[in-house]
Amino acid sequence: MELIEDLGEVVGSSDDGLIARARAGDTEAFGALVAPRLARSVRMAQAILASEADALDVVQETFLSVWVHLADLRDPSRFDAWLNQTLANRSRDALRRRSRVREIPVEDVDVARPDPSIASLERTALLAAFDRLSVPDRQILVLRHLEGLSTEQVAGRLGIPVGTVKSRMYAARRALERALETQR
Amino acid sequence: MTIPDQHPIDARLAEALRERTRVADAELDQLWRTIVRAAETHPQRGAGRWPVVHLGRRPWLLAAAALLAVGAVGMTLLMAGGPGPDPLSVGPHNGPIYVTGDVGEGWLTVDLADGAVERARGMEHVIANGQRLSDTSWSPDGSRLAYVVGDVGDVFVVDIPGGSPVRIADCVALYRCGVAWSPDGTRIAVSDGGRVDLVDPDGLVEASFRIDAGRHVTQPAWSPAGDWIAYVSITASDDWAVWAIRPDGTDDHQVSAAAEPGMIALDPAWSPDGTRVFYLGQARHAGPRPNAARGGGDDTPDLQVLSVAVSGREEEPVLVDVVGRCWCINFGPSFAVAPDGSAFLVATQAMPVADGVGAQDGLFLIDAGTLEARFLGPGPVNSRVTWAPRP
Repeated sequence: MELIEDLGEVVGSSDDGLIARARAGDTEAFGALVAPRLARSVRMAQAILASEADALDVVQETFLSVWVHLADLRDPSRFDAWLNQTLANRSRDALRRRSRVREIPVEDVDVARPDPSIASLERTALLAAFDRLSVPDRQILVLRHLEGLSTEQVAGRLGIPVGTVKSRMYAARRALERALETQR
Repeated sequence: MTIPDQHPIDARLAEALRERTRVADAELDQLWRTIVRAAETHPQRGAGRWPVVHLGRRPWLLAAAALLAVGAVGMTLLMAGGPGPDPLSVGPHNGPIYVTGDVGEGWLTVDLADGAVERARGMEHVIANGQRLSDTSWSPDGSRLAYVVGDVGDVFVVDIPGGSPVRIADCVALYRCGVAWSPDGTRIAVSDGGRVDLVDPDGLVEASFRIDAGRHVTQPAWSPAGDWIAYVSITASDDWAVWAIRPDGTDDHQVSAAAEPGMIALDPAWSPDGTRVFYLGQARHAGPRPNAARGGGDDTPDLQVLSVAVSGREEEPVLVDVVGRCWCINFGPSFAVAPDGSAFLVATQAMPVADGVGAQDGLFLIDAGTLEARFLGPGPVNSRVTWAPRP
């Protein structure tokens, strides 16, 4: 992304330093913290919410909340874990708002030029099952399988022990399989 | 337990999610600029940290505004009195009493005379937004409060006084979500249905465990050493009992007497030495029952303070019968132990029926040594009480 390349020099400084500067009100440092995390945050929100517009809104709310509450972060090394927790909470809010507003049955959605291939149907079923999972389950599956992170990296992103990642991964996978089975 | 990395479902899921998550670079660029612009126009909360002024030390700083608020929301805790010296503090280690109700929350301020409680004066709001809080827990130093907002199940932490609430979790089950701050201040147990998350004060989930299927966890309470979490277990058949579990999810066992059909257990709280759990026992009866003192029905007290050793099932005799035997129905009583173990606090919601006699509805302070009970005054509807440590 061109944006990140433009900010390469700033991003090159340590995150701890950026966080310290951002806590002191330095918006340039905050922008440098946001840049390398923006695309993956949008991917996470979009995966959870299945809507580009909602995802962009949620990510904007998330980073603004992080900025406003940055003084509450006691351990800067957990910035990413904190960010991901905030993103999950905001995504959950968006899902709740959506459920309060309206529900559109899948069969009622006007899909232009539907792709009837078996692969496409399988993909639709898989995503429908994914959408029935809890936000934490979706989050951990996205980190592992969409972002391709190792167990240790997922632990770092979520701020939880590796053993907990493994057990939560296992539970999320089982939940996905059960959700798929109930569709058949 | 193994997690095969290359399970076919993983690859298909990754492919499906990649299709779902395509965003143009131009959109990201625009979003980044929007975020930075928003940061430039939004002040950061607590830049340099807000000053922490503990109500326990300077209780009168907010008194005028609090009393106005009391009047505005119709809190009727007032009994009498001019300004007293301190919120209720029976012993040097006990901070103020904190009460929540249907129309908000706040400190219960109680006048003292010669170390004894005389009268409740009123409520001082701590979180001035009128939310109904379904559970609360203080940080060990008394400077922060974790609480659950009743209607939506969101869990917040707020610095007291004057902080802005920070959401740290939300409950999916929306059923008697509970919070308990660990004695070392590093973790908050959040109970949600059958699951307990151990969350740090920034909202990061450090560990989770789940109890047996078919039971709910509510009203968690850490032991003083942090080696146990007592909680109320509710089964599908509506049996309420006190259980205890290690913070790693092991050694789960029932500590109160075997489920008694005539009694439910509420609000476990630890003795300061960590050897015993106190809790409130509430008689279970479908409707108003005859007053035994007047010659009818059984003589089971409506509310009892009970004590049991966490290591076994050694139930102790009733410590105190809180509200006597009355023709009444008790709704949502609440119980707390002073941090130094010197006193108990019980909030009752006894609704007298017919010519009910003896029903006293409100807040009772009970000396743990003499078991003498004092009636402090009426509380807000659906009172829940906690007792803060001395900051």
